[in-house]
Amino acid sequence: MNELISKVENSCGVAPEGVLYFDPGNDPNFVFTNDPTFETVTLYDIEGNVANMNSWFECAHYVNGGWSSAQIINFQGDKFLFLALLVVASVTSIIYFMNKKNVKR
Amino acid sequence: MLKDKKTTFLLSIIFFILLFPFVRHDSQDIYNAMPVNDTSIGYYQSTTCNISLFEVYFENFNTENIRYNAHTYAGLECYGKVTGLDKVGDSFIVSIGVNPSISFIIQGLLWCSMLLFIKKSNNRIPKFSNLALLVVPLLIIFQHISESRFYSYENKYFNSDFSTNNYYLLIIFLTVYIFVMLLYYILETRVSNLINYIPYCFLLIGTFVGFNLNFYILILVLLGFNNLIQVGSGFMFNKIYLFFTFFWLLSRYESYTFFDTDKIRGLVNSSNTISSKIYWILVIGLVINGLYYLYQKSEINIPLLTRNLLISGSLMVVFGVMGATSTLINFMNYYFFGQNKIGMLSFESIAGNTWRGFSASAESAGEFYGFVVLSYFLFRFYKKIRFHFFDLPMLGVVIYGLFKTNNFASVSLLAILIVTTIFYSKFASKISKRNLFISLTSFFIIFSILINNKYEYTYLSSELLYEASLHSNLYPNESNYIKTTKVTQLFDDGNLESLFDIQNPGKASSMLTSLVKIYTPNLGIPFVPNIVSVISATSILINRTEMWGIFISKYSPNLVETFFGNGPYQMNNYLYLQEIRLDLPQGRISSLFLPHSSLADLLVFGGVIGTILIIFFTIRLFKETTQNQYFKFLILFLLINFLKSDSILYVGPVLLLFLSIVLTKKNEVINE
Repeated sequence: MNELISKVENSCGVAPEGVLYFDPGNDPNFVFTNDPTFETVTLYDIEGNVANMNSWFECAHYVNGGWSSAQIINFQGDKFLFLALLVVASVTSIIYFMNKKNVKR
Repeated sequence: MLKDKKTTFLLSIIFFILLFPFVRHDSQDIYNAMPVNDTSIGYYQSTTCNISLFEVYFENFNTENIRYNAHTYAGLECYGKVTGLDKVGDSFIVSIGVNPSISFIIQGLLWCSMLLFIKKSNNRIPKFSNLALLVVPLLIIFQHISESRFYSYENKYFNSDFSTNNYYLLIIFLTVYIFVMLLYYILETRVSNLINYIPYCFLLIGTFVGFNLNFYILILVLLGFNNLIQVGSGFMFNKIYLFFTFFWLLSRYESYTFFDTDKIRGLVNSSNTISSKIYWILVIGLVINGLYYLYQKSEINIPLLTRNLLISGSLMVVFGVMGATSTLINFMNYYFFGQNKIGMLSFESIAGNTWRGFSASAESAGEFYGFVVLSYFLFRFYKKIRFHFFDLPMLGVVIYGLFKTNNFASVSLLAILIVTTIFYSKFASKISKRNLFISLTSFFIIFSILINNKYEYTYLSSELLYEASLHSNLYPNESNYIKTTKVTQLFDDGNLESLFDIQNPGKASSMLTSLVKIYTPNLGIPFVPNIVSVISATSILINRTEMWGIFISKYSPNLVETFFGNGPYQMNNYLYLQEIRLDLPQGRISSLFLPHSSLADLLVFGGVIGTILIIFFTIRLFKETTQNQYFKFLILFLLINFLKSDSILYVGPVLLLFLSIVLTKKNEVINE
């Protein structure tokens, strides 16, 4: 739980006085009220989506849902995978063509 | 045997390495798995890509309402780990990252290694073409570009640009390139034995996660490419196929509809674009060439085939049952066996009558179980295969699977064909084939009349058209209730002309309009039943009136499509072009309604001419005298079942039909 509180504080700052976080659940009628004193914070999700937060409560709710103020720099997984495959493909090709040559002989 | 042990050992190592990301646990990790409940939803959503599948599973071992869902859109860093938690109703859905780029490599390598279990044949197949090393990867790249809408939903790395920085396409190219080399190496000495392992297609389904591609299709494309190079236009099929291609390209594709492929992923076009149509025409053409190649090289080994049928059938039931009892196994089944659709999570039947278990379709599972039992019987009866101790329990498990799928058609056909086999073998010298055919047909007609006897003729003959009318967009400004009342009234009055031509012109599909015209001819031939009436009565007999009614209301081909179809595995025009208004409960309206008859599927793909050609070749096959005549029962069993199911939309049943044709036609049968 402390982990979560520190995450919320890192992204949204300390809770304004009198504001307590509670989980609004899946209530479709729930509306986040704008807080004019709250400086807009931009949050990002894992897929790179962006959302601007207009109140601490809204921000805390988003952070609880996995959003973060730190834009996650995409792990270049595809590049890494490509390089690994390139090595495997090269080695396999050498073996494959050498094997073919031997069979021909 | 020693080699088998080595292969098993190697495969076990590969499997455990592949399993590692799902199991990984770091004791220093600050993110630990927590009990899944309402309060931990936020925790799991904010600690994505940290907790592995096994960690969360063992933390919640005794919690019942958790399901594990494959999340393909997650990046590589999330592979095997939790990417989110949602609550749907009373169930918690834990999403597990399975990025398609890495999964493609992992699944492909695993399945290629499985091929090592196939016994080597003495006949080494000379020379596979090296050109395939370039062509096949490019073909798969072409699919990714032409079905970009499908792939952009599935993979976050998707990128269709042609650039050296496009790692997405480069990964696909290199992976397929490696697969081609591996498959060449493995198949070179095993291709003639491949036929005996076809039953395993029902166990190892082979659909790549996040891909609209199946492993067996890839193999057949590869073999087909070699056949094309060796035989080319010498293969009659290729000429006919080329002729049809011209008309398929004239069919409609202007409507950019999208089919998410659902349970037939891997063997259907998702998009309705000219490029994706070309891709599927090429692929299916190559697949048929591949089947021809396989047919030529195949060496049937009856005892081996029997074992494989029994093992595959019983394992399919066992894994289905295990998946229904454990959510973890259910997820693993989906991933490692390449299921099109996640297996059932309970033993409860759908709508009270079917249990599909491991398979995406209860009907095709029932057909397979029935096929296993029938072929075992035929092999014992005609080929005198030796009885093994384990045959009985395996058969028992398969029969249990057949019972659970509740496929009445499969069970009754099985019984009829077994009785006919015994009867025919006893009296073969006294009864001619023609008399047997007449007796069987008469039996079916009398049986149908007895079943349908309680209905009056008008009801039997028009019910299918009535059902189709109820699902059509007739009276678009009226409610479904009023539409039903008006349609019923006009059907009762026999005033179909008023219903379709005067009150609802242009609202019904072209198929419904044509069938109504055939049903109400200006000139009737006495004592010859109307074809629409026969189909309608048959649909009532086999409980297909609703499904075929929906098909008729949905399918609205133009002139070219009527005669030549939309092209192989093109469902978009059928599914989306005709505006309909289903007369079904709200919960079922958004369901996928496939035609529920492989003949109807053929009509969509090949049109009237294509369907007639296939029927012609089927009749020719039955009339042809072969060494193993009795295996025609297997073809008959499958074809009759296919008439009421969409089995040709799945890879397994298509290969099973191919196997039964090879069994019937091939002379070189290895026996005990």
